[in-house]
This record gives sequence, structure tokens and C-alpha cells, in this order.
Amino acid sequence: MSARADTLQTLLRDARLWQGDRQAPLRAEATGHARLDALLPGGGWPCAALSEIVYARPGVGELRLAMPLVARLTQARRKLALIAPPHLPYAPAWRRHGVALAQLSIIEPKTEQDALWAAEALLRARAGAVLLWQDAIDTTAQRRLQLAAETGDSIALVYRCLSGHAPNSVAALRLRVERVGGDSCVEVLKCRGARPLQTCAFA
Amino acid sequence: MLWLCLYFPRLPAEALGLDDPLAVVTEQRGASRWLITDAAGIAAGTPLATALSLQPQLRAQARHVKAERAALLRLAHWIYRYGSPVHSELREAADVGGIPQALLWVEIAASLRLFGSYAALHAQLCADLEAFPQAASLAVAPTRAAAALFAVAGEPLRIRGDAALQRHLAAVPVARLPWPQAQRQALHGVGLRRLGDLYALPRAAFARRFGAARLRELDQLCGRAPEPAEVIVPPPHFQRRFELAAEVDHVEALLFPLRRLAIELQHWLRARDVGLRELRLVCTHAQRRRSSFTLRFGDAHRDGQRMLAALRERLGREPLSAPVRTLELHADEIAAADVPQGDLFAAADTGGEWTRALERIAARLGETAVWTPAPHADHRPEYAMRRASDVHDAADDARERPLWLLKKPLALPQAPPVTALPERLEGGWWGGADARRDYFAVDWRGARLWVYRDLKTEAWFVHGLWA
Repeated sequence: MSARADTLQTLLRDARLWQGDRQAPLRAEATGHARLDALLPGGGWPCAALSEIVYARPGVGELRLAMPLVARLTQARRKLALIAPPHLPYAPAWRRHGVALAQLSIIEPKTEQDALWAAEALLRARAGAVLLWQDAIDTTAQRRLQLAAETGDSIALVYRCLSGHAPNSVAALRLRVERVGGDSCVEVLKCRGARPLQTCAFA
Repeated sequence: MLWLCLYFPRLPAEALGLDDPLAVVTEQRGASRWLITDAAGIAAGTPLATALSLQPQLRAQARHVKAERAALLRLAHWIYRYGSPVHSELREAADVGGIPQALLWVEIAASLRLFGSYAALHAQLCADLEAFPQAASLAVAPTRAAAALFAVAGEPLRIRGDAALQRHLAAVPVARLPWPQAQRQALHGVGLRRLGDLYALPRAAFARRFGAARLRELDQLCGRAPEPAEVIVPPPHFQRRFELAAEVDHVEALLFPLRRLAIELQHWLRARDVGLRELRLVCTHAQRRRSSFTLRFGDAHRDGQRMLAALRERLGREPLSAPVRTLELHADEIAAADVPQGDLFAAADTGGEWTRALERIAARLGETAVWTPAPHADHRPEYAMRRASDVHDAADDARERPLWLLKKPLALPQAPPVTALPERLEGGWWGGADARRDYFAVDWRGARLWVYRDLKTEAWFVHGLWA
């Protein structure tokens, strides 16, 4: 009897065994939105991993979601890059959000291939975080970014403006941002290590 | 003083870029031509006719003194990192059949402490010579003349102190002195075989018979007379030219000469104790057409590999406009080098990885594709931001602003549903871009927009997004 219990305990201690009711120990950076942090395993953006933010149209609050992270990392003198942003990051507003602009680099590549190449190079160069805007990113590219983020211990955020159903993705975390009745809402589509499909509003 | 002398026996061939075992360099005086580099088992100094009869496939090439001087100067800049002062000499042969000697001296007494020991310095020096690659023999002695004498003889002696120098010099055969053949034979004829015999002679009588100049040379050998020479200092500007053997039309083939140029630039930067901020590469094509580009670096550095990586990305971005004949590398902007220092908390850019990655990206995508935003004091939103290489603190604006600004305001077909009071922004009449606008934040079709009404045309535009 006791031998069986021992075996069970050994099994439970095995790191390869995932238990549905327990969160896997994940390293994460707080998103800065308390209600969202409570939903996410590890309490924030997963470190050394690829996260994806899906939104149906620009201006729904998709950038504000990442703003506390950007502000915190730049204030800690970590380097950040925005790759292929759809519009100009408006410097006075970013400063108001507490971003140390000197740590921020904006890269405007001409092709999607160049954008991916730059994102990979910067993730490997131990960036604090790399924010990439690319709607039609394929699985191979996602895997490459994921590997680069692991190598450089950086956070990779991919913004995808998608209308309708979002295709499959290998990202560790997928969030969808919408604007419902004057408030920005975030829905957890997928997250590594916990149950997805929960929704919360954020300021 | 402790002089390290390097003798480069293959410099005439290396200056011409010959690496074929059957290619030889010849010197000509009057009707006689003779070999000045070894080839295929035939010793330097052999008349060309004799050499050809021994090895008919030999390909002879006349020496190029200017190229040899340039090569020696490049080596002088490299040796600068081992000490100073640095001297060089291209010693022409005294007789027909003699071999010119390319010599380089560096004073190392002061640098031994820096390197820790002579063995460490020697190991580093040999590693450098192997990396070039560059054939050389070296010797160390308290006088330049003595160091050269032993280096040319191929004796890797390391003599410290005058007594040891006297002892070694006394044993050197007279035939090894770089004096004319006739004089050496005359000495031999009167039974003087070794330098020790010469030093034992009465000085006045020796000077009368063989000349005061020879006596001074003997004094210089053992350190009794000064050895004046011009000191080599690296020039204040760096500009190097590389003539390609044939026209090159693909980038990969350019990398080898570029690597050489980058390493030379690295040596020059180290010798001058500065770092590189900007370099320029000029390519010359057929019909004297030229093309050039400039590369800027994030911080002043002297890393040849980093220069090469940036050059490779930049060349890879656009195909060559035409086949290249010569390459020219210029150091356009130099600054005090930022010596890399490990960050205790590894928070910032560790080891400059980030800066290097950004440089590579800027080289591939273009200088304008990488920038950092900075606020600028202006009421008009499109002027309230600048591209900055370094950000200065501007006064904080208390009003709320959207995170995205559209590159060009987007015209709205109809007036949006405005609820709040407007914020009027105007200005710019002084610069010709006069603007008078009422700005509103509106929720429209599921997004929060920053729209304005142009008071002159009464049209509506979207200018930003609260993303």
C-alpha cells in the first residue's frame, strides 16, 4: 500500500506530468492590468516566449494593453523595438504613459521578410521586448520568433489585425482585444498552463 | 632600451600578392638580374639565368619598391600595439646579388610589464603573424643594429644587458655585416674573421683604414653610439586602397579584401587609441566611375569583425551597380573609444549586442528605417515629435494624447458623433504650415479616434488612434 503511495508521489513530482488544476510554474512579466494578471498563468506576459494580440480594427486599445510593460521595461533601461508599426508612435503620449523614449527603437522595413529578420535579430540580441506588427504571420515564422525569444530571453509580442476567426497559432499566449460599449475588453484565447476563454475589461 | 626587430624575408613577394611557389621576385642592376626571394628550392641571390636553367617553369616578376614600402608601413602600424617608438627600414642591397632587407623595430622594454612577460608578448605576436599570414623572423637586443643583425641571420636570440650583447657580437662572422662585398673580403684578407677581432683593433687605425662610418656602425652595434632614426607615427587619417586582381561582380568575392582592410583599420584605431563612428567605402568601377556609401556605428568601437558584419549587410542589401576594380576604405569619423565594460546588473545592453544588431539592421534596411522618437515643443501634433538619435527631455504635456499618430491625416466622409468639448490647436503661420483645428476624441465604429475639424476648410480628418 505504502509502496503504491510512494510511486504516486514520485509520479506527481515529475515535472513532465501536467496537472489540470494546478498552474505550471511560468516566468512572466506583469501586464500592469490587475484583472488580466489574475487570469494569466504566471501573472503576466510569459518571458522568453511569443505572445500574440489579435484585434479586429486599430484603435480598440490594443496598444494600451502593452503600455505598462513597455513603460516598466524602458524605465529599467531595457531596450525595446517596434517593428513595422502601422502608424507613428506619438512621442508625447508615449511619454505620458511613462515610456523612456531613449530606449525605444522604431524599425520600418519595406518587406515582411525584412521585418521578421529584424525581429529575430533583435530578440536574439537580448531585447527587453520586441513588438511586431504583422497580420499574416505564418507558423514557421512564429516558431522562429519563439526560438529567438528563448535564446535572447526576450518577450516577443506580435500584433495581428484580423477580422473574423483567428487562425491557429503557436504563441504561448493569445489575447483578443475588443471595444465593448466604450470599454476595452480582453479575451484570453489561449494560454500555456491554464484554462483559456476568459474575458475581462481593462482601463 | 630593448629593441625587438622583425625581418620579413618574403615581403617583396607578399607586397605583390604572390603565393605561387614558382613565382619569384627579381632585382635588376645593369644587365644582371637575380632572385630576391626563395622559390622552389632555389636560394635568394641566385642569378635569374642560373635559376631558370635549374627550374625552367619559374615565373619572374620585377620587384615593386613602392608596394614594399606601403606593406612595411602597414606592418609598422600593426606593431604599434606592442610598444613605441617604432622604426622601419627597407635596406637596399649593397652589391649585385644582395638581398634587400625589410626591417621593423619596436621598443618593448616599457611594454613587457603590460604583457606580463616576454613569453606572453611573443606568443601574441606570433599569433598575429600567423593570422595575417606574414613570414617573419625576430630577435631582441639592446641596440637596433644588433637586433637586426640577429633577426636577418634567423637567430631568434633574446639578449638583455650589455655584457651579453658584447659576448654574442664577438662571435658573429664578419661576412654577416651588411657591408659591401669588397670591404668584407678586405677584412677577411687581413685575418679578421669575427666581430670580436674588429673590436680588439685600435679605433683610430680602423677608422683610417676602413672609414669613420664603419667605426660608427660598429659602435652602434654594441650601443656605444646613438642610432638616430625617424619615428613612425600612425597618420591622423585612415584611408586604404585595395586593387583587386580582376573585376569582381559579386559581393562574396569582395569580403576577403574587405576583411583585410577592416583588420588594418582595427590596427590603426588601436594604435591611435580611438574608436570608429563612421566609415566610408568607395568602389571604383570601369571608366573611373565611383560609387560609395557610409556606415554609422552606434558607439565608437574598434572591432574589425563588427565593421565587416556591417559592410556585408550593407553590400548584401543592393546588388553591385557594376563590377568593382578597387576598394577604398576611409575612417570618416573617429572618437574616443567606448571601452566595453561589463554591467554588474546586466540590465542595459550587455556587451553591445543590441547596438550591433541595430547596426546590422540599419545597414540592411537603410539608415532612415531605424529611428527613435522624441517629443518636440510644438502645438501642432504632426510637429510635436522628432526623429532623434539622442533624446533630450522636453516639458511634459499634461493633456491626454493618442498613442498612434497617423502619418497623414485621413479625411472622413462625414462628421463623426462628437460629444465632448473641442480642444483648439493652432499655430505655424510663421513657417508656412498654418493650422487651425478643433480636436475631439470620439468613439466611432468600435474604435477610439482622435479627429479634428479643419477650421479653414471645415473638413473632418482622423489624426490619431487611442490604440
